[in-house]
Amino acid sequence: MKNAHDPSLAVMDLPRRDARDKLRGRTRYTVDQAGPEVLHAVLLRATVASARITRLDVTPALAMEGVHAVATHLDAPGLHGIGIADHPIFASDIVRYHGEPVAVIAAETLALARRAARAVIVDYETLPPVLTLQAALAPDAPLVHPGWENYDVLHPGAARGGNVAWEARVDRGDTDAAFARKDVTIVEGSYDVGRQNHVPFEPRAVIASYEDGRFHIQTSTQAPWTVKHVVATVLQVPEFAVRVTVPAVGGGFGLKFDCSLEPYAAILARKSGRSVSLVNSRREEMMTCLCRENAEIRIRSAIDAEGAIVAREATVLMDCGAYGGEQVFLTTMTAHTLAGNYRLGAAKILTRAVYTNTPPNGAFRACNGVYNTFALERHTDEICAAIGMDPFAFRRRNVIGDGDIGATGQTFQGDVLRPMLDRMIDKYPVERRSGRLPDGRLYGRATTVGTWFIFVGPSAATVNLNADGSATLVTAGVEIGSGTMMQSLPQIVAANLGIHPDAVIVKTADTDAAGRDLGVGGGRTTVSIGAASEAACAEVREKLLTVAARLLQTSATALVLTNGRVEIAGKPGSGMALKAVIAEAELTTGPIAGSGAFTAAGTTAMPGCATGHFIDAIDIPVFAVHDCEVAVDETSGRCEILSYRVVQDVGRALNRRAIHGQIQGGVVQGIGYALTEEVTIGADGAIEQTGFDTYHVPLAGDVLPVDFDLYEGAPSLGPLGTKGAGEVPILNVAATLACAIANATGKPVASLPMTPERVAALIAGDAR
Amino acid sequence: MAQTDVVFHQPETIEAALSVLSASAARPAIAVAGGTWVMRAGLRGEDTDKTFVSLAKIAALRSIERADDGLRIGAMVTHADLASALDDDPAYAGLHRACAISANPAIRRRATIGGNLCSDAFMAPDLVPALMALGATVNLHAPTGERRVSVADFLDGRATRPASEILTHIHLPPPRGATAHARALLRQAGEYPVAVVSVLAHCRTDGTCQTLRIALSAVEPAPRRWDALENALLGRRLDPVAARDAAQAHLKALHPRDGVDAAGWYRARLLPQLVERAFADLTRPTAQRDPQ
Amino acid sequence: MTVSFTLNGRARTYAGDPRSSLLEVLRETYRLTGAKDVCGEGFCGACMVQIDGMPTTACLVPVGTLEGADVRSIEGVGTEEQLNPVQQASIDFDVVQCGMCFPGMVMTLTHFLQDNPQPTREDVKSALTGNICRCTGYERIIDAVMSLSLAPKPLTEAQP
Ligand SMILES: Cc1cc2nc3c(=O)[nH]c(=O)nc-3n(C[C@H](O)[C@H](O)[C@H](O)COP(=O)(O)OP(=O)(O)OC[C@H]3O[C@@H](n4cnc5c(N)ncnc54)[C@H](O)[C@@H]3O)c2cc1C
Ligand code: FES
Ligand code: FES
Repeated sequence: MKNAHDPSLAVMDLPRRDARDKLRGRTRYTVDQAGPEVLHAVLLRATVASARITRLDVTPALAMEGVHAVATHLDAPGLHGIGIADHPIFASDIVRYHGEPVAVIAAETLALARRAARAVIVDYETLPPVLTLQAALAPDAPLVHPGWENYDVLHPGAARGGNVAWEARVDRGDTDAAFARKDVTIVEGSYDVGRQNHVPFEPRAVIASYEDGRFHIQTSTQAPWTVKHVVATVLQVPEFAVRVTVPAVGGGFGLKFDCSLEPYAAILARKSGRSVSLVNSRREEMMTCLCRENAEIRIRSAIDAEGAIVAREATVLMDCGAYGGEQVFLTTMTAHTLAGNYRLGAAKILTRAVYTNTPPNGAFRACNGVYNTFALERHTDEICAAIGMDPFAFRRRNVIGDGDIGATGQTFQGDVLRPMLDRMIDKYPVERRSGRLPDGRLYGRATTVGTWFIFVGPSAATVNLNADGSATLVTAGVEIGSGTMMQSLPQIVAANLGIHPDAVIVKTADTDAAGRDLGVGGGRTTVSIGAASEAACAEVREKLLTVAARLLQTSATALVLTNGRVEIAGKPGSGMALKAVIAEAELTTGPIAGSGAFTAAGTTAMPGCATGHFIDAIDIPVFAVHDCEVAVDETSGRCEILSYRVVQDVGRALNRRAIHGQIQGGVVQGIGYALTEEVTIGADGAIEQTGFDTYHVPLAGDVLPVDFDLYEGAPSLGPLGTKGAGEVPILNVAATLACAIANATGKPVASLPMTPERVAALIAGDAR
Repeated sequence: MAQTDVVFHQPETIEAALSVLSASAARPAIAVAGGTWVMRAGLRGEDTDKTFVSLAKIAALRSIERADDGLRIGAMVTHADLASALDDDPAYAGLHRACAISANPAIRRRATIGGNLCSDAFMAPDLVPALMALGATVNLHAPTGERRVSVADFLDGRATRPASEILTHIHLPPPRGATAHARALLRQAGEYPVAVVSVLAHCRTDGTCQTLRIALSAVEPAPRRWDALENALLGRRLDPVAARDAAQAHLKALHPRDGVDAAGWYRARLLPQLVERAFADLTRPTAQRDPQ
Repeated sequence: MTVSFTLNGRARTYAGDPRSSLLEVLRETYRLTGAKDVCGEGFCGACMVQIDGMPTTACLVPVGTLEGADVRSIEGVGTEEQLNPVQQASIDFDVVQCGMCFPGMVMTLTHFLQDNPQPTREDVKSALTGNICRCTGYERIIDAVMSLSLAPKPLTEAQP
């Protein structure tokens, strides 16, 4: 049965049900769960970036009073990974990064576990590390994975070899011919970006126990089913032997989209027979964060006399660190971010995930979209300068619109970016893009576009209708702070069932209760879990209306669900309370429940133009237009943001206030990425920013209210026409600030972050 | 921890504190003032198993006394307390600013002036250069007796100072002239400064500079006076732009350090601008000063 | 050695290591987990409590120094029936995200508003220098705080 309800019923500023306890300090995150009965674990981490382990002796630690269990590679033989199974959870014979776990110890107290970790004997024979992309790709570079050929390939088809973990390419059309044309202007640019640490306030944390032959893992994760799978893989136990539950999560931003600490705690729980808590210290979290990766981007474009982009070539090198991880998957996304904003005649894009002896990287809100957008938008402004075209006019002319084809040949539907650009510029006409302010600082302004995607994929949901007329929604979705599980989902379910969202109980994630789900990330929660929930509601509605039709002696199609009642359409008061229908159902057919599932069928692309890709096309593109004004101090290189404006494609805004919070928060995280958050790796291969003294996230004084406009109505497969709104606000922040700073200073900004020191260096040039 | 193994003392007199600090015991003893540096020892990878001798209950260390020969500030006076005590005193504008905008509000309420002077591994203190500009001396009390030394001399011997010595108070001579404090940050506030300039200038009636002290912090591993610049500007009129140019010309005298937060060249680049700002503040009524 | 102090209005006597931070003692001994251990070094304010009425980063206070002190943690602020104004405004403006920073935000802002009943936005931002939030981008928190200002409201005031 079709969902015959009014989508606007789902639109409201529903407050968050978890806010009260969070404000009162009552909420127990995973880090708050470990009571006195729990053992505390500590990881012994390698203190070198590349080495052979010549001796590992844990007996002195095990002999200490109060130590309950110690584990090493011998306890976890399996390899895991995305695309390639290259990742053991402990270094066995080889250490590949500074901070790699070598052993883990569970003891009565944390202090004792730390002392025991110091008692473990490890001898290293150090090897020359490869710490940079250049070093890794040098002809005679040492191999981070000498045995790379022996790994299981989980997703076939990509080129690999040496320190190249994965290669994805797109060849659409004949770029060579286009670049050879006489009538084109060729513009080329190189860009590089550093890492970004998520700094979720709750570090990665887990408590595991082992009962009745099964592991119970309570963890701070975004992806319970991934944790279940990876724990089973590395411990080599059946997946059904692992149960994952998720307490409130204190921020994720992508860091917790991967399995990380869970297997260690699981092993120790089985060995000790006790519950074991393992929590990363802030220092560990800083030094082994699965950061947004550092990368190098080269782009070359051929522009004809009319300003059309007839061809584009790009090469992107992504540092995956010591193991492939998310970067392997993300090689797919460079194509869509470098060739999904503008109409291109031909495209050739090569992306490599490269191994180095550095801490592994991971997924972070809008992932490589953020820096590819930076590179592309700086490149776009360089094109405009080279051909003498106004940057706004160029963008307006070339942005992807209805019927245009994307990187891999998919056809985009609807004109979205162009009207979004118009909306921005109508509201904030451009007076100038550069100049000097009365106080002597340099002024710059820029407007950019960005394309990202909603990461769809499998989700399952069950809705149980309760005797009191409330509903329980069971999914593996996790509330990580963005509000989706607290706002969008109950709003969607409530609108489908004609009840108030407060009467929708949202079960916290438990893989023993909920069906498979890809996890909360990539803006997919509202879309995929929302769609699965709608499907579950459809079944509930059908059952409910069948019973009600019988009771009301009318046809089910004449009925509507509203205000906790079933009514005959157009005749308020004619029907009956939901409770009565449910009571009747219990007597006749039994309690009412529905289950639903969702996955995107896949959008078609042009056959044969993509290799090494995990997805052919993007099912739900999301667009953003950002604009900002900056003031730059020439001596200090400090940049003050004078205004920041966003026009964001949201499909349909279910909760405008919640989206406002996501935009303000996402833009500010992007400001940190662009201006102050810097991760550097020292000669020893260790991340140098070990705490908040040196890693500078934005503080209240560094931010400004972000002006925003929600663009509704763009096509979307999402339930009620929604698109995820939480991931994309960060997408073009670095791009916009970089273009504005370049306009202000007249310098070729090509690196992130644009710390005051780097901007000063750019301004000083050789004078420095 | 055995019953007799006392790891925490909170004496009420200086003498009592000195006696626990100097008593030979199983573990080293350490004076604890506001604790904002000591309590992070574990994060710095230092030994944390020390006997704490809290100075918090020693009333004598908490007072601020004004006398004819200047101001006497107890070592346990916090940044916030000192900021409010100096509030409307233009002669101490530089020190006031250092106390009022360092760190963040909660830290300013705990961190003490004595701790700021005694944290020898901390390279970016705000109060220390402000005290150097004012020509402060510090009083130290050891079981063997008391001594009074200039801040510069104190810093020189700081790393090898006996653990049993307590800094009891700071003495500021009656200020002659105006003071200013300028700091450079990477954000608006909150982190350790990457460079600090603190200045005292006393001018003759003809406007030329008779006394000039310029102290730096965060630039080198420890705060220092920038004597080359002082000499260059002494006898001249206070002119922010001229001071900036002179600073630019005398950068060679310094050895700016490379740190994770900023490279040496960058710290040096900021100094002329900071000197200019500080000099501009010297010539301006306090209320209109640069908020940075 | 024991340390006696008042915690959320109740007398407590602590008998463990007096060098431990108040944060550790709150979280582990008393299982009051509202104050969070986020940076452990005074930068983030997630561990903020009030000691004798003053917001203090519990991670930097050795519990031995608290003899006779009056300690209030987030668990001692507001009641189930009546939240304190900062908590209520945070709900009304829908500003909470992951929530980890909010116990500390409430401690800092409650005290701040007592001393500054008519703050400017800039005043609020300065007061928050030692309270980091990774999720919200701050401005909505400031909107919520400004709604509590006793100053006459401008017409363009932010809406909940
Ligand atoms: C988040 C944060 C930000 C900061 N930002 C700044 C900043 O911007 N500017 C700035 O100037 N500072 C800053 N600081 C540093 C702060 O000022 C110092 O930590 C503080 O001044 C130390 O004082 P304390 O009383 O806490 O010292 P403690 O931590 O108690 O002691 C520090 C050291 O001094 C010794 N000591 C203390 N008092 C005495 C005494 N009377 N006699 C003998 N020895 C003594 C102790 O044994 C110990 O070795 C910051 C600190 C933090 C935590
Ligand atoms: S945990 Fe205490 S200030 Fe961050
Ligand atoms: S709400 Fe997550 S840190 Fe503030």
